[in-house]
Amino acid sequence: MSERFELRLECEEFLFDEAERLDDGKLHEWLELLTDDVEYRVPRRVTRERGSEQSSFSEDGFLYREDMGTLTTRVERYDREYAWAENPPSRTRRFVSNVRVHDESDDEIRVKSNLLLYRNQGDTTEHDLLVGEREDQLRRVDGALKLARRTVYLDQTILATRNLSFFL
Amino acid sequence: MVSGGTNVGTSSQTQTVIEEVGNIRETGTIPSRIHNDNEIHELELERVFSDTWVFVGHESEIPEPGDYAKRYIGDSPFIFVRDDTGEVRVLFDSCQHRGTTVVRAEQGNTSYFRCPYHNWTYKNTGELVGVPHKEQFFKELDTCEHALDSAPQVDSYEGLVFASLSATAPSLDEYLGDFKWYLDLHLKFAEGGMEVVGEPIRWEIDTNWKIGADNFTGDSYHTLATHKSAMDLDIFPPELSAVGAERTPVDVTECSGHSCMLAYLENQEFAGGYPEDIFTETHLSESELRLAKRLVSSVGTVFPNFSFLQMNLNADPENREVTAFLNIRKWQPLGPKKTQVWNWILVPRDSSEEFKQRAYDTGISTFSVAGNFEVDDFAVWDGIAEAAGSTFGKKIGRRSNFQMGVGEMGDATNISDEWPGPGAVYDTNFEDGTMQTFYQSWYRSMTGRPIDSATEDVNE
Repeated sequence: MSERFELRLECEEFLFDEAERLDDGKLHEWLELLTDDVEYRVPRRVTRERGSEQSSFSEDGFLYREDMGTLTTRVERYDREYAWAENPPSRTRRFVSNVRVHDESDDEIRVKSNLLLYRNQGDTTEHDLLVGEREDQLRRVDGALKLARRTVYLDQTILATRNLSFFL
Repeated sequence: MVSGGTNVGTSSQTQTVIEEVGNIRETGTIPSRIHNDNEIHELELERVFSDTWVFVGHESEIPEPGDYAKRYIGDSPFIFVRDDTGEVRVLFDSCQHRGTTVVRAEQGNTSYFRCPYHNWTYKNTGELVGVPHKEQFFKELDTCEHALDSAPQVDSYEGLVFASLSATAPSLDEYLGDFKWYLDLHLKFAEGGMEVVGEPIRWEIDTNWKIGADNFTGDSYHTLATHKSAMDLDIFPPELSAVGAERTPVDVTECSGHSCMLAYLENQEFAGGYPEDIFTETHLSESELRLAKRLVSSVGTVFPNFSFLQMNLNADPENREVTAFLNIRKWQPLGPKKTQVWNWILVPRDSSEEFKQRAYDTGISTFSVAGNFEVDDFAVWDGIAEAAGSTFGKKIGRRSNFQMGVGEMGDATNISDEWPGPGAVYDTNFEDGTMQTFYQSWYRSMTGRPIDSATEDVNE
């Protein structure tokens, strides 16, 4: 196997493991996959005309713009039974695909992947679907990969969900 | 007395429901049915959203000539645009030819709007300047008569642009009336005023638009229950929270048909959410400035669907500072049980980039689609519409209770005489007068009256 193929497998394995922790609600174990200086961002998508010189993602509008401290605060909130947004908990299933390894430096790897997130909650057949692309910076820390930066580019401008009480 | 003319075509059952809302001051309750009913929804679009002043956007969202954003008044599409002369306009987004919408994007910058159907073209003033093959097929067409329609009335207050679909509605100045005193606390405390950061975050919920609007008049009671997890984590610093001993609360009711709640520090000069040097003495009265500096939390609703919220909160109590931001809202009705939420964060224009970013981050981490406070509100509001629209709910005439602290229920004291601002003001956040004001304005609007009873009395 080529080195590049092995590297992609390693990145996929990381992303699949991460998705499992999130889908299983093991949020503290998810935090362990992040570097201390993690940057986690979800910019707001904007509908613009074809040919517009402006990006279709906002430069200063965000759904999430987080660091380890704010992410930890969020996770600790979900520990409480009074966090009604997740009580009863959402049932989520993340489909992570089209994993592409773009760059590799000495200790960081830039990886893109597609995300399809299904969310169902309570006794209802209704569900939310959130779809987008993730651009991640993975870093080797003591031999293991960790997530150092994530930007999620969602495909919706108006979110078809009552709340984003989960991570992408 | 109900003017008969405005109620033609309304079923007697719906008419009874509307009348019962009008008795909220006496009963403290309203039929839950108004929170999920097709006929009520249609009537609201026709009456409430056509006769009042509806928020369109903030001037800072369209700073340059040609900047535009697509907006809605009730269900009607409009273009919020700054034309090439710098004037802010609210144009009906419907081509004068066959009527389709001419704007495809959510926002952008353009000198011309070109209809995609037959390419009739309008300047950003709304003027019709291009009709393809006019000399062959439309020789007699007077282009001057075919400008895009404007909202009948457009006006702004401290950067907030409102429009009215009624040419005869009283002016915005009159409509906001005495409530401007409370808006000023949030909009005029800094020399350069406020500006929007980013684009409004939008999402949709399965509940009625009035639920968010009534909650934001000042439902402090729910904070203790719905937001307990955020309170327990000190995202709302405990000394500043609804049960904090340091905090002086007031409810402002019946203020030109609008209402809000405020909480401030009586015994401190400054509450600390904004940079202290941002406050200017030139735009506010002494009593307003005193209050503005000490505010720790406030929420309010300008009837029908514009709300604001300002709080001193913390995105990460372990590592960050308590920070203030101004959050403004639009609860856009999409159906009897479907609401699109529009959420803006505003910061003082003259504050540092560091502060603006911190304020924005604090805002989105607490009051937005992923906000540590807000996510729990939206977890519980859907259920209101579900039960309200149900067969059994209608059969038993389910009513929603707004009796807290009012009349004999509590010890809320009317302190209007000693309070420096307008409205009927109470010395507690735990009374439902703010919500009673909202539903009274709704009743008055649904029955063709001005929302401010004082205005009607004067006119009569």
